[in-house]
Amino acid sequence: MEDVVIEVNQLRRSYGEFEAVRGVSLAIGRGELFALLGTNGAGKTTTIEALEGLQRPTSGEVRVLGLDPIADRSAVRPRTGVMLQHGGFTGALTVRETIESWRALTVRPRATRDMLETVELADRADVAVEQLSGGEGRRLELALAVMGRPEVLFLDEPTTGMDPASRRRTWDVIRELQAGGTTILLTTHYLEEAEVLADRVAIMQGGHIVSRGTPEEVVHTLPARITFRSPEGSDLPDLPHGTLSVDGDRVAYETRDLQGDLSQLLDWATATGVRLYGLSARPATLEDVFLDIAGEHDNAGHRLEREEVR
Amino acid sequence: MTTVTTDRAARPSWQMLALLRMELLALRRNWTATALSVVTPLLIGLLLTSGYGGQTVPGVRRVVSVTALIMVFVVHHHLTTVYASRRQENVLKRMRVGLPSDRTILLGTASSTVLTFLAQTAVLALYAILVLDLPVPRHPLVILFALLLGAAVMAAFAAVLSAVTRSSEAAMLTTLPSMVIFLATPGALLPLGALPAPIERVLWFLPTGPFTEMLRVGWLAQTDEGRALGFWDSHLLALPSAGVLLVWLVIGAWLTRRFFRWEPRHV
Repeated sequence: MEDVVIEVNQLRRSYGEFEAVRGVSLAIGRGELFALLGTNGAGKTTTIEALEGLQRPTSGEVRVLGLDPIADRSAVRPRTGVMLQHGGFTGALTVRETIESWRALTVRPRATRDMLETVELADRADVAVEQLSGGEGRRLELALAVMGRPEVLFLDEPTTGMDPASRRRTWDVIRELQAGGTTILLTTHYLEEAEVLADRVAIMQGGHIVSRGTPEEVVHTLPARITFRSPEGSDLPDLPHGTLSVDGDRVAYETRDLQGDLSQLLDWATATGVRLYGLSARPATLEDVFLDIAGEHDNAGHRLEREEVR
Repeated sequence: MTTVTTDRAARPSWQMLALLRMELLALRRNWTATALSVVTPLLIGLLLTSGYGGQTVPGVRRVVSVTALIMVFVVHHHLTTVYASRRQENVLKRMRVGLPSDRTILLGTASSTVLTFLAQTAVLALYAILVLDLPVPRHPLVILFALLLGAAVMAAFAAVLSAVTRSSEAAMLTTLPSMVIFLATPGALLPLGALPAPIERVLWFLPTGPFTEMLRVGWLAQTDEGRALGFWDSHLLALPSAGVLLVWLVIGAWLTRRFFRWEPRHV
């Protein structure tokens, strides 16, 4: 990767006794959209806040555009946009006043009307910020983050609390920026969001990155699934790449070769005249990866075995 | 317009103006805060000074002591709640990911409160001169300098105490000790000469001691013992007071650096 815009090197960050991030490394190239996935407390926010210059690393190093976000604050800030996880508004101000206030603090800001239309808040311009719904508030946050046409954009759970329409709108805004060459790091616990938007993802758990790659690569670490309802009175076949599990009347095969195993299964069904009710075959989703990892770690007596999962 | 904006958004003075505008907007919207920080102290101040019409020395002393009272209430107590609520709303945190430096954010957030205090002082002074028939201040520069330094000290300690203040209600408690300390100074809420001289001399070193002395000297151009002072003597006499206030300011700024919290407590 030639043009690394966001770099994290062995980042550790403790709050008193609690170590929130335990040795995270990342390199994100120009124009890339990278998603940090994880449940609450996985260390996503601490990682992104270290990059925003809000948290000082306990050890390790972070670089944005080749600069230290704390030491080189005044050089970095005009080139980055940030959407925090929570609020950041004086509630009594209206949407328009908030946008105008932040425009005064932004280098080469986009026009107020443009911002209002981008995040579809034009009809709410004169409403006090404290009256906004959760999704509208998040969209206003997004407007402030992208106001200065940043080279690098940090979005901490941008769509949390949004209704589906708001979420789509936010995705559109993010995609437009991505198409314009903005480097974007976002955190989310919505797997769908990462699958739809991200060039690469990393899954965080307990302060570590436990899996990373393109969404496809991460998904490929897990087998696909074939499921159907248990047919009566017939022995189920062995599939060459699949492992069988039966849960009540649900039959499930986990397979590394979905196409091969599926045709064998269907051949068997045709030959024996068995009808497979509720048949479904699908590749693993990030959701599976996520649950798989979360499950493993919750059972693994916590912190010891994390590195092995990689 | 776009090209001009480029430069100014990065300029601290412009950022401070933007923050001042934001705070004034918020003050205009929030009537409780406005009444509490603007109207009430002023009304009390006017009430406490009426009845001193024509009595030059006691009158000016009273006006000065009321000025200290307003300053402690507005620039210390009220500003503590402003810092605390901007922190709880995550406004301070959001500001920190933008262009302004930490210092600009702190000063900008305090600016509307300090301006409010200066405006209250101006109204009080006009009232004293026009209605109470007290003399016109002799050395406005000394007075202005005292007001700015005093307000800066109060603001610095407001920033420090906001770190342990979760809400406006909590501020009643957290700023109580400091308000008592700041007001229990001869010349502030205690009349001059009410305490034994040695105690008074020690208490003078609290911020409102030199603050009120500078105001009295600047207004009357005479010492508290009644010795008339020329132009240079008045300014010279103000120097030790200004020095003590500066020391307090350095202490306050250092404590702010050390203890100020930018984020709500959640970890």
